Amino acid sequence: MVRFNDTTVERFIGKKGSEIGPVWAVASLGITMVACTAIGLIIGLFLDKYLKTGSVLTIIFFVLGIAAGIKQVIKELSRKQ
Amino acid sequence: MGLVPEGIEYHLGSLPTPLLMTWVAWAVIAGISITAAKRARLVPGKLQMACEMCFSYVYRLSDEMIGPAAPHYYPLFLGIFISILVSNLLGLIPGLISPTSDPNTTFALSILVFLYYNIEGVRRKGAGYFRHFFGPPLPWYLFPVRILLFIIETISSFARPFSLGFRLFCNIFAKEMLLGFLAFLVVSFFLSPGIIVKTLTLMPLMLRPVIVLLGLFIGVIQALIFLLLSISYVAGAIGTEE
Repeated sequence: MVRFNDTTVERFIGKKGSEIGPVWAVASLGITMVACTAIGLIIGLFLDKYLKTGSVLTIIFFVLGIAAGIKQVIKELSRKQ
Repeated sequence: MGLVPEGIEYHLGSLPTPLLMTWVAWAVIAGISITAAKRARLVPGKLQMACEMCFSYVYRLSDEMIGPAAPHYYPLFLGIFISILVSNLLGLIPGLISPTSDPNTTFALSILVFLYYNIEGVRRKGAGYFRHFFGPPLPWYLFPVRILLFIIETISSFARPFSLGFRLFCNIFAKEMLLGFLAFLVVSFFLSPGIIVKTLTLMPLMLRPVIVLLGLFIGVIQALIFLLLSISYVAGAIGTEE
């Protein structure tokens, strides 16, 4: 594989160019939270429908989805720091 | 999907417009690559310079986050970055739309990354790959906690492709809608009777270049975020994340 080591590139992006990305990735943490909650809710609804358990599993998986979202946000933030 | 009935549609048989635009993006990438490769010099020109900049940026990011195993994954990351970047920027050309403003394209890309890093994780670690779903080692009597952790980890794992695809789609779709509505306002103000309404044409006309600049910025940033998260997921799956 060809490797490039151009000083002009370094000058343009900056030696710590990769730090730009994580800053912007933090801005989209909200969507991670929503995605986790939605996935939890979908799994709960699906299980309730097939196991015929009313709405018990929907509530449980909804709460677990929120927990997963919070965990994911904390994980991402601690990695960024 | 037909989410944007006001959007540009090319009725070429039963060929969906986003698919056609994806082919256009591929043609643009192929054209640029062939031209840059043919004119490759020791002292690079502008096009070669831009290509080398993309290459070295993706390589360096992969090296930083994955480590010595990174060269194995360069083609995937380069492919993802360049195809998303070109697709995002395609919508800025009048008469074309971004293929990434269609959820089918973005979710296909995110599911591809999701399947790839999971398969790669299993290939490298075997069944031990699934151990991290159960969290850190705990005494046996705390097995309910581990089951709870397993459910939470599974939910957050399945949320990854969802958030990855949804983020890209939402940003590019919003940009396309905004540009489309501004173009619509220009035409409708201009064609309406009355000099006062006609002068209002200036407002969307002045706003459009700003939105185009914003679209350029969002297009690059979103391609970068998709790339970074893909690298981070692969690094996490093969266990070399620094």
